[in-house]
Amino acid sequence: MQKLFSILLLTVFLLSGCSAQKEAPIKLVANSWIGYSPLFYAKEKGWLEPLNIEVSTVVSLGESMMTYRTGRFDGLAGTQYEYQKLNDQNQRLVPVLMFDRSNGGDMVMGNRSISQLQETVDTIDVYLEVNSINSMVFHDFIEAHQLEGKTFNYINKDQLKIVTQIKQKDQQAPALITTYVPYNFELSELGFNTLASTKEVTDIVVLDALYVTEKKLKHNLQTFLELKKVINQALLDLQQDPESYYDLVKPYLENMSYQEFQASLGDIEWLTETIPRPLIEKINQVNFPIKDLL
Amino acid sequence: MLTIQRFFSLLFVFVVVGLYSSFFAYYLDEQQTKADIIADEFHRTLNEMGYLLATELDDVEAIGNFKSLFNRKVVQNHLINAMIVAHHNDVLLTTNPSIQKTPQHEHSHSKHADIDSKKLLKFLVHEHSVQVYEQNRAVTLTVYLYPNHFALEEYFSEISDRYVVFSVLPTLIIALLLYWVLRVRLILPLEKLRQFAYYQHQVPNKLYLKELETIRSSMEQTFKRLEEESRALYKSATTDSLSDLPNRNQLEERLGWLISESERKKSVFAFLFLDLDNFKNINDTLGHDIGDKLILKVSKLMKELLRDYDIIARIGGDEFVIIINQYQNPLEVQHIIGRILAKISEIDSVESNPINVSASIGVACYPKDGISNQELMKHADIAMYEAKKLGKNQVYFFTENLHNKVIEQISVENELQKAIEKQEFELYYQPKVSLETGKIIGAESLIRWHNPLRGFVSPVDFIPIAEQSGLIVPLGDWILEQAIKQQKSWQDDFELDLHISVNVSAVQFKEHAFFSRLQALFNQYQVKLEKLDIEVTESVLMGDTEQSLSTLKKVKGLGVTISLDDFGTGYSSLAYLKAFPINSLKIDKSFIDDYQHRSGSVFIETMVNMAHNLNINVVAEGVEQQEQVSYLKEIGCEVYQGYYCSPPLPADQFLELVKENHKA
Repeated sequence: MQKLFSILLLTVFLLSGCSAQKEAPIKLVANSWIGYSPLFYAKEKGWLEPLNIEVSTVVSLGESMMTYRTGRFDGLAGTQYEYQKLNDQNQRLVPVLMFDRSNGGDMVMGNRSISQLQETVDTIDVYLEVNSINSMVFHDFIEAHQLEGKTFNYINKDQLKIVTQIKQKDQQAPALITTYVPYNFELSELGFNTLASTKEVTDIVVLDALYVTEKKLKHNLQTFLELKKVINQALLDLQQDPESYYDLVKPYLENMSYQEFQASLGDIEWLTETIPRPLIEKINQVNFPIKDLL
Repeated sequence: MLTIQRFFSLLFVFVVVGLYSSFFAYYLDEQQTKADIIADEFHRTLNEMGYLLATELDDVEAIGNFKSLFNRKVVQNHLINAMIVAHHNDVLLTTNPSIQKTPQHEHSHSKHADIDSKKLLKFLVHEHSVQVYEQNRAVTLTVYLYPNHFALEEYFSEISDRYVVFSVLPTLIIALLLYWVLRVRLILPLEKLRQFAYYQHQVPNKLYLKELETIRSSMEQTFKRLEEESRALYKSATTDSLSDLPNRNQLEERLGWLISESERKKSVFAFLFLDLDNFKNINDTLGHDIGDKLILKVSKLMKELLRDYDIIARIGGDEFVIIINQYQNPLEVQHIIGRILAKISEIDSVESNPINVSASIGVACYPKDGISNQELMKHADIAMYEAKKLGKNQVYFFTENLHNKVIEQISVENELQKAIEKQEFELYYQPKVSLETGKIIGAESLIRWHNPLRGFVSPVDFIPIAEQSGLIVPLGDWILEQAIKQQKSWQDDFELDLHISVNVSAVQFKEHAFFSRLQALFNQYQVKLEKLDIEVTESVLMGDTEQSLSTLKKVKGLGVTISLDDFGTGYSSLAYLKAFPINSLKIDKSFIDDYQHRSGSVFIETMVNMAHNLNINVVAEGVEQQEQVSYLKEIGCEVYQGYYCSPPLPADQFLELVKENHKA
């Protein structure tokens, strides 16, 4: 009788073990950006599944931030702008993985030259994601080129809509578009030229990092350490076989060409392994915490 | 220790509480899941609408363009009552015209992602902040969502009702049903089995469960067997196996009750002690099987004669006790006893064997003759022996005199024992005279007892007691030795060659050692064996005839003569005369006394003729007159003895008498 009871108890225990729910995955959201491509590469490689990490992709940084605010995500990839915006709303995020620094990846494009813009009296259409790093880049551009006195018509749209609208609309009026890789390539084809980028503007530091909640980091520290290894491996793969890397991440980057991909890589500076000393000073100046970086 | 009822009740409560706890936990979890889904839906709706505003609205004044979108959103979701968009406290857009003010207490989805069902029902409004840009100027708008609380409450209460209907009630019903089944099929049967094991007063009906039924069946069989064995044991302990009548144990038990009852009711009853006469002879002659059948016959007969409330018990071989109660007067008891004796006397055969049966009954009455089992038994027994003495087929009621007499007998018996040790006895000799010569030719030795306190005690008074007590054996040995010694003395000292007769009782004669002791005496005293005469009565010849005949032949083989004493008073069977080696036949005094009447003389003469024809001498006893002597001489009788010649005399006086007789 005791033996039977023990077997029954063991069966119940095993059944309850079988029926125990799997731990909820770590859900991250990221937008199309060459700097986040190691994350997409790792996802395509299937390296994230063992780590129980899920990555959702959106079009723009603004959408990424709003999606995160739905409360169903544990972290997001974004710039220091999104990080500060969300923390202002008590989101308690910390940067855990530094991806890159924009080194030409963020830019202002226009259908007029800078001099033409300085001379024009017409209202200048400004396409940008207002609620993103675009604003900072654009304001820096205005200041740098003494365009403060001009009349601007701000058109707040995400990058994909901007591209779509430019395609559909015959943009005759002077226009400026604050954008970033990969959307710049299509805009170039539509007649827009890069007037300024983060490569030349040394005052602005645009940092791309992965942010997660303090709680999540604390509970899943080992997982994020593993994630960092995966990201580094992805970059190693990129160095060794860029074409294969490109083939996997292409859909996440608006299907840019290999050449565009190669060009984009030149617009960012990878910070996954180390952060140069001068950059650290700049980072400190913008109050971006790096103490929790893995 | 727990009863099975309590054990199952606790188990039942434990299971029900456990199940309900589990259901309740699952219910709460499900409620939370549903609350999460609904909250998520609200959240998603708020985010979606907020995102649309953030990305599509570039002029707050144009918010009316979104009204149809908001209306559609509300209409499509029955859990949403209304949605409004406000800038600070100004309502810019509303799907419900009655809502024109921003709410006071709301749940901010921007700040709190988690929400449970209680909060979901508690918060009247859910709110989400969104930033829209007019050019590069940020404007913070708030989207409010008004849940349909009625639908929500109905939804959650519907879930509660479903839980009650599909989980709580079925569980309760199943649990109660299970408990009922357990109670009916297990608990109650076990309780019945427990009671059956303790009391055995009611056999449980057939049980449903195989194992329990096996136990019940085994218990029933075991108890049945035990009861049967117990009854059989009780019966064997309290019933006589032969007659099926109560035995001594049951008699004592029932007698005890009867005494208690009689004491309480001040009533009386009669205690009868019945003993079949000569039953031993029947057993000895016809065999024990016939004896047993006779017992059965007598038992059956008594059962038929007596009433149901009378008690009949067999307490020994041929001994019965009958207790007659509830009678009107002693005469009724007498009548009943009379009927018993008469019916027993009517038995004339057993298994085609002719048989004469009679019984002797002693009666003791409660409380006059005894108030205890032992007293009644003892006194009835004494009375029965008295009845036997009266000649059998008699009844004798115990009396105080009888009691005294018995006491006296016991006293005599004790004194007799001492008398043998102290040699208080003396042999007297009564001459036997030849009718032809007138000379004394012999003597019959007769015992006399000189008790220091009682004085002379007649043999009639102590011989029967000696026989009853068995003292007759040592006493008889003493008599035999004295007689032989006396004869030897007379032979040696006075050259008297007298024939000395010694009375040997039936008890003594049937002793296995009798012959060897006789031989030892002859060897010791070296007397002429042919001068010793052994007188026996018919009782010696009765009973075990083979053994008696064998002993007589052996005695006679020594040269000793044998006389048959008191002939004519008992059976006077011719068969004895023919079968046994008898030398002399002694005619009893009662016949001699009656010689003058024809009725008396016929018997005397017949006996003399018969003896002569059988070549047996005749000795007449109790001769007291000359006429008797003449008559006896005339009819050819050989020897007489009696007072006419001399009463029994002490040895020395007898010697003088003989000397004078022989001189004459």
